[in-house]
Amino acid sequence: MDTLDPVLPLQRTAPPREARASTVQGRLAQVFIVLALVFTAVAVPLGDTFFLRLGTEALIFSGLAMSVDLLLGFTGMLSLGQALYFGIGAYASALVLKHVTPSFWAAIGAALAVSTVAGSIAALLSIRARGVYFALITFGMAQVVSKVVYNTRGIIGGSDGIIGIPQIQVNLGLFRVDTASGPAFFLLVLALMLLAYFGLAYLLRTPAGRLLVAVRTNEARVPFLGYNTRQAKFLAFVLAANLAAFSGALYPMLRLPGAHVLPRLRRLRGHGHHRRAGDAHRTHLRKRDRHRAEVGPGNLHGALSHHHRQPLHARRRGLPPRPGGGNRVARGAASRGCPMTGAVPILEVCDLSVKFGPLMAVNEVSFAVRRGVITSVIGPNGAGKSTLFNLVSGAVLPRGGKVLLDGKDVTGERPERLVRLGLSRSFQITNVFPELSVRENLRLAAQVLEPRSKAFLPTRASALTLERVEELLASFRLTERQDELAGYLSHGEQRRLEIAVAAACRPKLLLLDEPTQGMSHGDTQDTAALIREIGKTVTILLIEHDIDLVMELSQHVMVMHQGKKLAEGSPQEVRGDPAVEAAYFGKAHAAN
Amino acid sequence: MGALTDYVQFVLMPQMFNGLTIGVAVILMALGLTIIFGLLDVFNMAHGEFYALGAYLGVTLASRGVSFWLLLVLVPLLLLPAGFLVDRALIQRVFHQKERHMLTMLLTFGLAIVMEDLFKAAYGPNTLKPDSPLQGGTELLGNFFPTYRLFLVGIGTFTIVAVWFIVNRTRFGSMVRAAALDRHMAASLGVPVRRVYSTTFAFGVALAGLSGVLLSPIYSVFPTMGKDFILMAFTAVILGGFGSIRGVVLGGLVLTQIQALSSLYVSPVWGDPIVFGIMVLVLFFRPQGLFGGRLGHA
Repeated sequence: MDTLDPVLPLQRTAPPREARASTVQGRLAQVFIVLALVFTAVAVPLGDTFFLRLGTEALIFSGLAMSVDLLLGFTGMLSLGQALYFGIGAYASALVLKHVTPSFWAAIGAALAVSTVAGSIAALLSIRARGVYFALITFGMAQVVSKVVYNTRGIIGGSDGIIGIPQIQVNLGLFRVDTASGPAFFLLVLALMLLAYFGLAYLLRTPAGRLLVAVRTNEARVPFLGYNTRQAKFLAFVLAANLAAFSGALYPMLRLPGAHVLPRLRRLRGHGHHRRAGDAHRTHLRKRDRHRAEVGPGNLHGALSHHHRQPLHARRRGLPPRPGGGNRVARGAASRGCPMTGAVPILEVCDLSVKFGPLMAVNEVSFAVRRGVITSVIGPNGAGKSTLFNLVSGAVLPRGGKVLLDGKDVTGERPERLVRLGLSRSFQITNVFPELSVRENLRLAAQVLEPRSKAFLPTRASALTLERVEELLASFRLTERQDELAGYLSHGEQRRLEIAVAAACRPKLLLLDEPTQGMSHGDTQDTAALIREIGKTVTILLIEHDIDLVMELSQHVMVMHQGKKLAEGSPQEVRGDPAVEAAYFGKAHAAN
Repeated sequence: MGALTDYVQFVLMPQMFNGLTIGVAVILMALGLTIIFGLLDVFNMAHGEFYALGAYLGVTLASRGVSFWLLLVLVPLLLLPAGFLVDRALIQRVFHQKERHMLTMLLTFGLAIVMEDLFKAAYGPNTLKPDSPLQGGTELLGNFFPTYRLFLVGIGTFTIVAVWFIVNRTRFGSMVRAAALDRHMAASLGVPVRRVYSTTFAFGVALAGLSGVLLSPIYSVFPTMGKDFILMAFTAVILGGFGSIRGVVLGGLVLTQIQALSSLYVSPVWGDPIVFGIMVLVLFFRPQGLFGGRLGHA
């Protein structure tokens, strides 16, 4: 199969794909649409009851499939238990129709209400887990509920299900649709599913929908753009539960003679089987079908929860110690080493520490960044510079010490809160959205400037954002590449995009982690000019290895070595410091 | 006082013994899961269906007059090529993509659905109940235990020890562990990594099949038996920490004891929710498992 490597196939890294701008894509989808149209055009006038019911059932399941797509295709969450909500919708609808009122809208309303409650609870239980663990939890949830329902008699009827659901008429104002009528009900369900489809397509064009795509393509970066990923996933989860329940609510209305809702029903699978089984016309909806939703071809998100244990997430988010300084954090953070400056610096760091295992990665570091000054952090590899950035930007929880932004204690705040407060950062290893265009990367980063009220309006309604994107494209010289996928940019361009994404939110303080990493000399010079330009309006804290660049750019330099601050001062002062020389060149610490 | 000892002897002990019987079977299943995960990094959602396949194969062969004792060897052997093929034809296709975990999960989940339908098509939806090859009971510590269950615990324990031995003390096992730790390094040291992958997958699947044959006289055979059982096995694996053999043994025992003992006090209907609750709690608070460690470390 593979010619180059007889042992292991080559790592096939898929080229970045454009995240779908529309939910219809590809030839296969078009073929299906044509087939569906042909089916509608032929079956409806003929009024063939059998095929129309089959068609209606297919449409109803398409709603379930769309709900899986909303989770997996948009947001990158693989749910193996989506049919649970389909079942919840079906039961809610059947119970309302049978026991409360034979009203279509009441049934739909009940399904939506119950699925919102169930979906919220399930989301709280599951979205903390990522990737496969999320999938396992959703799978287990559906499995458990279906077993409990199966064994619970009473109003839901245990393994017999709900029998005797009345036929109803749907009042659509102008006319009424009888659910017993094949063609009319087919057309009604078709209309509803088209509505759901276009609703989803619309959602994908709103800032909220784009955020879901961002979560799928690079979840780890999203908080640093100022968005709460947990919230976004919660929203997607509940919406998907609603959509599945909505489809499920239509299911008991499907007049397959003797229809009833069963906990372990199965989809019609060729009626030959059913006739033979002697229960030809019972509609089965077995629990297993709940997992069966067709899965959209969307791009899967591979983040895995054991990747949590990467340093970035090491002692982090989602784990108990919460903001407000947390006791653990505040303790021992007396202002021993805190610089006492007159004017309030934009950033003040006091005795900040973190430990990875036995290693003090950052050891009681204190420093301040003055407004309008480009400050650099330098130090040999492993000195703790990037960890310092992770602590300040909220990626890692500190073990002790304080971070003050604009005089306000923000120790242990979440990254998305910090962005909203005006602190943004770039990453040493380019960390953008490779499957999205350059423009879309910037748009996502800039849409944080808009009020939340615009989250569900089309993206083009966000004027502030669009203006900011143009500005960024121009100043970072990316205009010509704006429609290119970020993954296809050259290294230098990707580094520029990385900074642009970080700068998009108009921060007060911008943390740049080795912006020129891996750049050619020419690119480095360009980037230096760019940084100087940004520095005119934004305070910059910089990590840099290129000493010439540091000397040239910064007015203030801090040197770190083995987790500690070694020296601080103007570039000239630092350059002359013997301890710094020793750290870099390995001389004996004569000065200390 | 007498009441208490009676309670222990006639209520608690049989219940714990039943738990142990299931526990051994769960561990056999979960061992396959955890080895496949530890080495290939694949969540085999179709594992339960391979367990069912083992049971169905057993039923079929038994109806052709094959003795039960022979089945215990024959069924796992028959499942080896099946597992090998599934790995080569399906899993390796998506194995090298970035979204490996999700793709393999979806793939095996789909395989599970297809297999379940095939069982239904071939054997019908009804429950088959093979006769127990060992009738009657055996007295032990003042209690009567069904002889077959005692046999099951014995042979299950033997198999678990054998698996541990193969993984930790044989040449093949060390290749498996090497490939699990670093497949590129293992490949450059001459380990035929792809063959090791497929063989390991087949090995895991064969364990599930053995579990199916062993349990079929107790739990009978029906198309959804795999799905009903897989949640337990997954929870045992999560409890024990993915990839750890010792963990899975402890996890399986703890889990089945909890389930067995809780069914004394609450309706067995709640058995599954309890198992699921344990799974969620562990994933929340100790995602590395209670007795964590990767294949090759424990």
